[in-house]
Amino acid sequence: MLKSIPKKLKTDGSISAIYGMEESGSLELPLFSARVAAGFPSPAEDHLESRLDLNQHLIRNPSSTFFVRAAGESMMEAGIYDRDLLIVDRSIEKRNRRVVIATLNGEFTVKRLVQDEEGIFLVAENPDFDSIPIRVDSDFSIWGVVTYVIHQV
Amino acid sequence: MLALADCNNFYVSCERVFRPELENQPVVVLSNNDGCIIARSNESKALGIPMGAPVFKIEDQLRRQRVNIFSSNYPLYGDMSDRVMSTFEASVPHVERYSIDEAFLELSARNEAERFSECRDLRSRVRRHTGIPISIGIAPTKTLAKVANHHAKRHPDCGGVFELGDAGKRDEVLGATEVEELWGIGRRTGIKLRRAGITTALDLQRADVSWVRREFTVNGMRTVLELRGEPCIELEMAPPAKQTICSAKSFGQLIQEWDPLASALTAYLTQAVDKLRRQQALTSTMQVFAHTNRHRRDDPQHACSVLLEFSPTDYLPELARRAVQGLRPHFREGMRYQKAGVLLLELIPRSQRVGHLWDDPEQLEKQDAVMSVMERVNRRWGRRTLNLASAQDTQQWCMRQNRRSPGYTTCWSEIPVAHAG
Repeated sequence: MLKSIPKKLKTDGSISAIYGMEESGSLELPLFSARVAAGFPSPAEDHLESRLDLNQHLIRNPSSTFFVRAAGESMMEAGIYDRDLLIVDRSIEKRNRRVVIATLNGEFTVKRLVQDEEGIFLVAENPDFDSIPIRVDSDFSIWGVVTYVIHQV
Repeated sequence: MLALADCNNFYVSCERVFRPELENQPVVVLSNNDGCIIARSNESKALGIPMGAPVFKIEDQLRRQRVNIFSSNYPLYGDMSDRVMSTFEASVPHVERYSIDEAFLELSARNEAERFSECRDLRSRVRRHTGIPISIGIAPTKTLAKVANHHAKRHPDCGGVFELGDAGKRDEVLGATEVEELWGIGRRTGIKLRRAGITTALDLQRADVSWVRREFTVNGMRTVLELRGEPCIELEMAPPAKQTICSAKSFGQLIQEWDPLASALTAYLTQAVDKLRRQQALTSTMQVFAHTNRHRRDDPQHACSVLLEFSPTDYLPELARRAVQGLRPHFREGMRYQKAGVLLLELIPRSQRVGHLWDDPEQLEKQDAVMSVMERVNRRWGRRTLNLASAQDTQQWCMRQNRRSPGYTTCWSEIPVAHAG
């Protein structure tokens, strides 16, 4: 490993720069464990790409994404069933008509956020359930936006 | 210009992200073993609950004032910290992660107004993305940035961002800062400075540099220069890899027998080896120790420690065997042990493993496969799912954590539930 460089270096101009070697950099060289296939080399070797990763598809911003479990049937028509896994991104803008995780009186709830001339509502997606109007004195905030549902079939 | 971004009452804030009803309520977080108070919400501070107070001494007060009490949930705090830090890293050019809840940032904005809005934006972004409130102090040096941050926290009218820029404002704030509150001034140095008539940060800033250097070494001098606005402590971008790894804890109750002590030791070693493998390193020297409780004056006292050397490895079963066999002869029957631990020393990068003639490559490969399987299983199903049998007898030494919140972000079975009813 190259550690020191001569302090005074005479050069005829053919050397434009000398770089010290990074000592912390490491190169993995499997000394004993490499198994060499003795047959034909794989024709796919030059075309290796990484396998599809669900995280990449489902999570745009990892540091603001959380997983939340749904409990109940009020959101079935939005495709959210009891025990489903919700992917929630807090960084997404909390716009009208998005499915959101809201906190209402200290409890997490999943509903569709609807704002119209009559006010703000947490709307269920199941005719058996009523919408919840948000009053001025409600202890209410929007915690995050639901981006995907993972449902076992 | 530099900035110090610091999470407000970080552990409490982490708990509140998932328990929003605790906003504006008094909350405290306890140390390992639920021993004393290590984090307080502003409401708890206002109630006069002292930092570091042993819980058993103020239990009545806590109950009477309806304080919400949590055992520490480090997996949660670690994950939330990483989210906050990543948000910094996505927003400014250089970030030094300084501690679990603080980071030094290098700001790109060129004037005070721009810096102010840059930091305001960052603050609201971190809050929105992670739920964690932060304060930001801006200044030309790290020491001053710490002071600025402190000021931002104590004066809510700053809106969480404060710049210690022009000299007039700087002197005013430094004059109101006790010298012990400064970054890098320990308790002893504080006493010594006070004896010399230096009581505020402003006094220290105006002190004679060569005198400070003589009395308080080059570190003291750096603090003085930093207070004058000359940067002496640079931003460290990549923290150097750890040279030693320690895992040591007090037991939930005192231990008198060897078996539970050996089991605790194995569990602590498991954590140390986990860190070792995460930084892709091997160890060739290990210190193993145990001792009784020094504060129990009436108990007979004993401390034992042993240093073990071997060829570089990260294989847990082998290290566990060495640790347990190494300490066994030093253990004394009948003593009431309070704490045990291991220290991994002489760390080298795994890539520098020098093959010995007598190393069996196939053996090494098998060991690595075992460790990888163990890590994968534990990552997927939670820590301690797959474990050495000798670490299973947890009853006596396991930490007391009666009031721990769920692993909201680290355990599938404990994620938050949203009601759709």
